[in-house]
Amino acid sequence: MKQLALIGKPNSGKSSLFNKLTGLNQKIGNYSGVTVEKKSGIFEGVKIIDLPGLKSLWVDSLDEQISLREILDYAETNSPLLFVANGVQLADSLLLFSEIADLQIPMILVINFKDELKKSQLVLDKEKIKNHLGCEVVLMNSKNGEGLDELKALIRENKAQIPHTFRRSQFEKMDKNGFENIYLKTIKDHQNKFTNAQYQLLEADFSQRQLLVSKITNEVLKEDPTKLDILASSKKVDKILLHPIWGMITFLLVMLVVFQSVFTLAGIPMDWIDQLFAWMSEKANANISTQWLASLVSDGVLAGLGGVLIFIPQIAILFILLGILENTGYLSRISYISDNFLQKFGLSGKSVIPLMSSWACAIPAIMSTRMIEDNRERMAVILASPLMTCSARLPVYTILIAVMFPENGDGFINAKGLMLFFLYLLGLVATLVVAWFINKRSKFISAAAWTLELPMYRMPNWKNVFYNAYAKTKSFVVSAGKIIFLISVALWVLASFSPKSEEFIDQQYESYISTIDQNQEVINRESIAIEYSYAGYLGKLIEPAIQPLGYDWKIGIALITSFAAREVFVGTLSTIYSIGSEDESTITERLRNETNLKTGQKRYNLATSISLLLFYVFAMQCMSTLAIVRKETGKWKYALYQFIAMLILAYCAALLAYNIF
Amino acid sequence: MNLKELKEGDSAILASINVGEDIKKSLLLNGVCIGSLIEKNYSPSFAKLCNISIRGKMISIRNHDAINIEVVKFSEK
Ligand SMILES: Nc1nc2c(ncn2[C@@H]2O[C@H](COP(=O)(O)OP(=O)(O)OP(=O)(O)O)[C@@H](O)[C@H]2O)c(=O)[nH]1
Ligand SMILES: [Mg+2]
Repeated sequence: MKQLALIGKPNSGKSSLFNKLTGLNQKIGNYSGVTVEKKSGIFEGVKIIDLPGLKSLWVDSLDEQISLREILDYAETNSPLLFVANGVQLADSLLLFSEIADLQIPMILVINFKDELKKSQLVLDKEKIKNHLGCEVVLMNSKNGEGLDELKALIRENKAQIPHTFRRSQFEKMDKNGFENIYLKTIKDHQNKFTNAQYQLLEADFSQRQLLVSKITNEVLKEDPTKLDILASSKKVDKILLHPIWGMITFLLVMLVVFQSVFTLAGIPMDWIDQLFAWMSEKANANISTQWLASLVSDGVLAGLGGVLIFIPQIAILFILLGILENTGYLSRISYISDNFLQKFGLSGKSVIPLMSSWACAIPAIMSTRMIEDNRERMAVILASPLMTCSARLPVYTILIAVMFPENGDGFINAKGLMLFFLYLLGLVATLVVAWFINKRSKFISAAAWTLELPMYRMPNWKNVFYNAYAKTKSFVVSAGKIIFLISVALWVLASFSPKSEEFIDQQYESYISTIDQNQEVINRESIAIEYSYAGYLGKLIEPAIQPLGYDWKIGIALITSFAAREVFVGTLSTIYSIGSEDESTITERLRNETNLKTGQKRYNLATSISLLLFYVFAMQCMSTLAIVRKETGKWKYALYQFIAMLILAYCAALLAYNIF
Repeated sequence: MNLKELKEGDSAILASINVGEDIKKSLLLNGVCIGSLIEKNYSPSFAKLCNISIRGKMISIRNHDAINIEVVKFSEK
C-alpha cells in the first residue's frame, strides 16, 4: 500500500484517527488552485491523507468537491480508502459508504465511537457487517486508540478490498457499444447547478439506498437505535446555550475570553519574543565590528525573523481556542446565534469568529476563515477583516491621539478615550460595509443553500486541538514567514543604503551642524543618513502625492517603512527626528513641537493628525496580512487588489479629513 | 401545517418540500426528504432558525425555508 485516504461523513472522527496514525508526522498544504486544506502524514511508509468530510457523492460545498475529486481519482487508480463511520449514526454513514462502494474502490471500514455505542447499549455484530459489505471492518475508538492495533495490522497487510456494491447494477446501460456502467459518469457529469430531473433521480436513488441500508443496520444492530434518544442531553444543553438571554450571556462571555486571550494573554509571550530579539540585536551590534554587517543582522535579519515569530502566540492561542470550540460543538451554536444579525450584511453566523479575532490581529483571523464553507462569504471576510482595528494600530493611535489632545484628559470618559472608541467603531463599520459591498458585487459562487448541523456536545479531544494548532502555526511560519522575512530585509536595504557616498552624508551633517544656532534642536547623523537613503528619496518622491493630505517627506518615510508593520511608524519617526527613544511622552512632545517650514505652523496640527489617523484606519499597512491573504486565497491578485483598494480608501478619507479640519 | 408551526418535542413526517433547488439538495444530503420522520427541537424565535433532529442528527433550517416545508404530525410530546 502506497497511500491511504481517510473518508467519511463530517465529524466521524477522521482527523482523530489521522492524528493517531501519523502523530506529529503531518503537514498541512493546499489543494492546487483552491484553498481547501490538504493534510497528509506518514504511517510506516504509507502516505495517509485526511480528506474533508463528505455528506454524499452528490456534493454541495467546495470542501466536498475536493474530497469527491480525490475519490474519483482513486476510482481510476484503484488506490484504497479508509472509510470512517460514526457507530451511533451507522445508518447515516453507511448511506455514503454505499455510494462509494458502487464506485468499486478497495476499502477498509472503521466503525468509530465504540465507547458511545457501548454507552447507548448498542451491540454490533461485526462478522455480519463484514459479510454484508464484503470488506474488512474494525470497531474502534479513535479518541483513545482502542482498536488501533487491529487497524494498523490491516494496513500493513494491505487488506483493503473492493466491497459488494449496492445499486451499481441500476446504472447499467446498453447502447451500440454494448453494456456500460454510467454510475461514475453520472456523478462526474453532475454539475453544481441542480436541475429538477437530477433532484428526482437523486431522491429515487437515495430512498432505495436508505431501504437497503436500514435492512443491514436492522440485522447487525442488536438493539433498535431509534428507540434511544442519544441526543437527549445535547437537547437539554441547547435549551440554555441557545436561549435568548442565557445563550446570549454565554456567547458574550465566550467571545470575551477568546478576544482577551488573543489580545492580552498572547501579549505576554509576544513581549518575550520582542525582548529576546531586542537583546539579540544589541548583542549583534556589540559583537560584529563591520558596521553594515551588524546593521544587516540586527535591523534586517533579526527584525525580519522577529516580525514573523511575533505572530506565533496569537495564531497558536486562537487556533487552540477555536479547536476547543469546534470540538465541543459550541462553534456551530455561535453560528446559530449570530446568523440573523450577520445576514443583514450578506454574511452568516460562520463569520463571527474571524471578524472578532481581527480585533486582535488579522492574520490568525484570515487563517480561521477556512471554517466558512461559502466561498463568497469567505472572500468577503478575508478582504474586509483587515479594516478591523488590530492591535498593531494601537501604538500609532496612541501617539497621534496624544499629540492631538495635549491636556491630560482625566476621568473615565475623556476626549482621548472617545477618540479611540470612535476609531474602533469606524473600523467595525467599515468592515461590515465593505463585506456587504463585496458580497453584493463579487462573482464568487455562493452556496446559497444554508443548513447548519448542530453536532452533539462532546468533551474536546485535546490531542486533536493541539496537533491542529501546531500544524497551522507551522504552516504560517513556513509559507507566509518567507515573504514577510524577504520584505523586511528589502525595507532594511531601502532605509540603510544611500545612492550617495558616506562622505557626502558626513559633509551634509557637518554643514548642518555648522549652520545651526544655539537654540535650535540638534539632530544626529542618523537622521541625515535616513534623509539621504533610498527610503528618504522615496519619501521625497511621494511628497507631492501626500502633500494634499498634510504630510511631508518625513511622514512619507514613516509611511513606507511602516508597510512592514504599522507599529514601525513610531520607531521610524523617532529615528527621523533623532529622538533616540521610543518612549511615548518624548515622541509626543517632539511631534507637537515640529513646525511646518513652509507655513510656519505646527506640522502635527489637528488636520494632519486626523488625516494620519484615518489613513491608518483604512490603509493596509501590513505586509504580513498581504502574505497571508495570498496564502489563503492562493493568488497574489487578491492581495494586490486589497492593498490598492484600501490605499485608495485611506487616501480619500485622509484627504477629506485634512480639508475639513 | 408547516415545519415552523410544529411544536417543540412533536414529531412529524415531511409531506412536501417547496424550497429552492439548492436547499432541497442540501436537505436531501442531510437525509431530509419527503417521508422522513423528524422531531422538532427547541428553536428560539430570535434566531429565526428552525431546529429539527433526524436519524440522530440535529439540523437547523432558516425560517423562510421552514415555512415552505409541509409536515403531518406523527406524535405529540
Ligand atoms: N467519544 C468519542 N469521540 C470521538 C471518537 N472519535 C472522534 N471523537 C470526537 O469526535 C469529534 C470529531 O472528530 P474529528 O476527528 O474532528 O472528526 P472528522 O471526521 O475529522 O470531522 P471533519 O473533519 O469535520 O469532517 C471530536 O470531538 C473527537 O474528539 C470516538 O471514538 N469516541
Ligand atoms: Mg477532520
